[in-house]
Formats: sequence, C-alpha cells, structure tokens
Amino acid sequence: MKYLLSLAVRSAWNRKLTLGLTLMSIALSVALLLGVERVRQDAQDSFAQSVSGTDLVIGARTSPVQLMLYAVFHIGDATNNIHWQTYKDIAANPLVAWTIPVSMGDSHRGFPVVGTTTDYFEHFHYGESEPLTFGSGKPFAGLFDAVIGAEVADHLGYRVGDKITLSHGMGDIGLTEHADKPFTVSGILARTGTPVDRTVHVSLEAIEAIHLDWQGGAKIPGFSIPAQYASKFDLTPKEVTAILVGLKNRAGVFKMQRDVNEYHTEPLLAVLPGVALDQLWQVVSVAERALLAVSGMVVVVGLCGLIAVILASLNERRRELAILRSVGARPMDVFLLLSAEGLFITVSGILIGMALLTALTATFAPIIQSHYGLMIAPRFVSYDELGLLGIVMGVSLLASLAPGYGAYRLSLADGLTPRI
Amino acid sequence: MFRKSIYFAALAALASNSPFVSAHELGAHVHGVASLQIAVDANTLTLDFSGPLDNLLGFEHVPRNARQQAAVKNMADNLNKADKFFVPSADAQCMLQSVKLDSLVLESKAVQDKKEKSRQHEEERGHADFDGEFVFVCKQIAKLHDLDVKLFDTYPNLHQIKVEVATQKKQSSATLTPAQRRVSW
Repeated sequence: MKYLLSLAVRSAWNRKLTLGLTLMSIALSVALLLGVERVRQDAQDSFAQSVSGTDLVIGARTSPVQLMLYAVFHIGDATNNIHWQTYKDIAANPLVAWTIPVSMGDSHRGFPVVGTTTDYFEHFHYGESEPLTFGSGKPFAGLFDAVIGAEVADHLGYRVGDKITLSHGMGDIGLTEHADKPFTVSGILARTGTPVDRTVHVSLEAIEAIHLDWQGGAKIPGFSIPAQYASKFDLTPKEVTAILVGLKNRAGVFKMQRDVNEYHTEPLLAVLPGVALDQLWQVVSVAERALLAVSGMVVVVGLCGLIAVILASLNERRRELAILRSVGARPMDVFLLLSAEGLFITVSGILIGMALLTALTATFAPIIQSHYGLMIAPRFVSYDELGLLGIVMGVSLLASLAPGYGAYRLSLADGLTPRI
Repeated sequence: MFRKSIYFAALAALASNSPFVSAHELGAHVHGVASLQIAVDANTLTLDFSGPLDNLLGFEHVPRNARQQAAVKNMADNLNKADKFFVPSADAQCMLQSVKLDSLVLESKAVQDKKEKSRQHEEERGHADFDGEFVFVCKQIAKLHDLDVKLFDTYPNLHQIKVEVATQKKQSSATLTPAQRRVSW
C-alpha cells in the first residue's frame, strides 16, 4: 500500500502541469462557492448589526422594507416626509420612551447628510446594544456644527474643526452647493461598522437654515441670507423623513404599531426593524439561491474537468498501469490508485480554495467596508460551509470512481501490446 | 362603500381630539391566512391572533341557523382554552391568564343590534374578521424560546400564519404552515 501511494505521488508529479491546472480550477471554484455563501452571511449579519434597541421605525406610508432601508441604511428614497406635528404627537405618546427624528435629502461629497437631534448620539445603538461613542470632539452644539462618521473622516481626511460644505441632493457631481453656509466638524464618531460611519450628522435646525433662502428646490437668485443671520429666523423643523422610536415597554410594540398605522391626520407606517429585515431576506433569498446554484455549478464544472483530465491520462498511462499490473499489482490496486488521485486533488483544491478566500477577504475587507459599508470577517471555515464542502467531497468521491473503474477494466495485455 | 368608510373615518375623527383614534382602516383580508403577533415582556407572553373569520368558521356573517350557532359557540369554547392551541416552551412554565375575543359573531344579539351600523359595514364588505388576545404569565420567561401552534388540525381552512415576534432582545418574523408548526426566537 505504501509503495502504491509513493508511486501515485510520483506519477502525479510527472503530470504536474495538467493536474496543477485542474487543481487551480477546483480551488477557484471552491473559493467562489464559499465566497458567495460568506458574503450572503456577512451581509445579513452586517445589516442586523446596524440597528439595535430601536423598537419601531416610523415614516410615510410605503413598503416596510423600503422605509427600513432609507431610514436606517440611507439606501433608496423616501416616498414622502411627515409633518413636524406628527412627530410631536408620536413623541408625546405615553408608550414612547425616546424618539430620534431624521431628515434626509442632502449630501456631502457622496456621503448622506442626516438632520437629527442630539438624542441620536444618546439613544441610537448598534451591534449588541452598543452606544455611539466619539473618537474625537463632541456632539453638535452650534447651528452650523456637524458630526461625521469614521469613514467620512478617513476617506476625506477631516479633523475636528475643519469646514465642510453640504450639497443639495444626492450624488457626487453637478449638485448645487450650500456654499454660503459652511459647517464646522464638531465631532468624529468612533468606527461602528454600520452606515453611521458613512453619514454626516447635523441638527434639524441646520437643515432648515441652509434652505432658508431656497424656494422650489433651487436657490432664489439675488437673494441670500448670510449664515450669521440664519439663527434669527424661526428654524423649527416643518417636516422630518422618518422617526426611530424606543418604547418604555418593548412588548407594547404591536399596540404602538397599530396606533401609528391608524393615525388619522396623515398616512403613516410603523415597522419593526427586525421584522422588516426578515422580510427583506425572504425577498432576497430567491436571488441568493440562484447565486449559490450558479457557484455550485461552477464547482461541478471544475470536478468534470478533473475527471476528464484523469480519464484522458488513462490513455497515456496505459503502459504505466500495465507494467504495474505485470509486477503484481491487482486490478483493485489500480482502481484505488486512480480514485485516490482524484480525491487527493479535490481535497487539495478545497484547502487551497479556502486559503485563497481567506487571503482575498483579508486583503479586500477594508475596501469593501469603505465602499459598501459591508463587514466581511476573514475566517477560515464555518459550520454551514462545512456542509457545502462535504457535498463537494461527496460528489468528487463519486466522480473519481469513474477513472478508477476505467483503469480496473484495462486488461494487462491491452497495455503491453505495442500498437502499430 | 368608499363613501361610507370615509363617513366613518370622519365620525371617528370628530369623536375625539386624540390623533391616535382608529379611522376604521380596511385591513388586508386573505382567506386561509392569519396573523399572530407574539410579544414577550418581563414576565408575560402576549399573543394577538387575528384573521378572516372564514379560517375558523367557514362563514363570515351573524350565525343564521342552529348549526352555525353551534360552530360559533364551539370556536369560542376552543379559543377560551387557548393553551391547548398555543403551547409555549415547557421550561418557561407559562400559565394562560386571560383571553379576550373580539368578533362580530361573538357579540350578544342586543349588542349586535346596537352595532347595526358597523355590522352593516362589515357585512357590506362581505367579510368579517376575528381578533383574539391571549396573555400568559410565565415563571421562567428567560427559558421561553418557542411556541407551538396547534390550530391547523382543528381548523383546516387555516393554511398559513404570519408570525411577528418582539422580545426584550430581538424582533423577527416567520411563517407557520401545517408543515412548520413551531416558531422559535
């Protein structure tokens, strides 16, 4: 048996180029399969980590998933804003412990600007109920103060005390600037791994102030209210985009949800963030399964390549196998030799694929984090992934039997008779 | 029908200064589907089960004959023993404390007459709903992690229950069917 193994290794080494390439294709396909599974898992975790302790998200009536996406993740748009009076009614509801109003629509060099109150820094929690902390500086106090997320600070190189200008609307270029009313960075939040890192926070009054001399979505030509006079105006917000609500008794959430959904002066929607996320995953799961199926097929293609290479090598190895037989190897030994080769390559392919994926995630995690706000944790293998790898192993074991059987069937005479 | 519901909305609005008064919303009404909201508190488990009456009775109007009357009584008797249908984790030692049932068919004749208007409203819609609130008190609420729902055998018209769960720690959702009768959190 030992001889057989060393023979198998040497024979394989002799064909290192073709086998090496096959090995690479299996490693890549395994890395793809695990990568798809990992991104799916991490995306779900990362979304779930983004909001914690918020019982309800309230906004204008729309789909629960959409409300959740724009209020917490700043993805997509609001269908409508809600009146300030509505916000005050909700905040005054006896079931409510705290509220965080958010007002969106402006941006700063591609990063969303959120108008809110200082309650945000006190009550907004992420992960396992962790509060926001300041890396440097403090919450906004003055009218034109801004608090920026860690990613905004890193990407644009801002420090406390820097001046920034907000733009009207979302996007990078071609936006009208609120250049006459610059903001001062008053604080930088510590990194959270959530959309907060990519957000610029200002007060609701500041949002009113920068739009004082605006009408119908554009600046009024020849009319401008200088920043130092802005605070003389009534800056009570007129509307907000959404409200995050924490309740005194968390189990009262369904009653509060019904109350809000039946609020009669304005059509409102209250969603439970956890429930809305679950609904989102249900929708997305179709696409996820498709992706998993495609990457599964890539693995199958890789394994087919492996079998094809080994089967093709049978022809070249006719003589080699026949000599083995002639010096005493039984047909069963030849069968094992060939099957072991296939299995060995698959196992090595899986190991190399996992190493490759770990290296790739370690390299690209910071880039993905900063561009998409998605945390991909480099880890070697998880329990779910073991299941997938088990399936790959099983399929490869079955597939490797084919060349083994082919070799088993080759007769001694067939290989030793030189063909003319 | 629309005019009528607007009329009711206006009436409701006039009746109170609070903006949180129901404006008689027309909720979704899909036969075969019910909703179950599970709220877990410091020591209580509150279930709110609602959906079309058809799921439980097979009809959606005031009972018109003895058989229908018996069906209504049977439903009420069953649901008053809600711990037979909703079974929380055994370790949590939960006891059914109160049951509140609310549906057009469960009201006494006098009340039904009194509520002529809203009855007409529900009947004009051609649909009626059922709403039940079940409160359990649990000794070991920390050990409460799942709930078995055993309604599907008794009520074959019920095919799907959309479940929402809110606990002190997390919120989630699930769908129960005759093949999946346990919700865990």
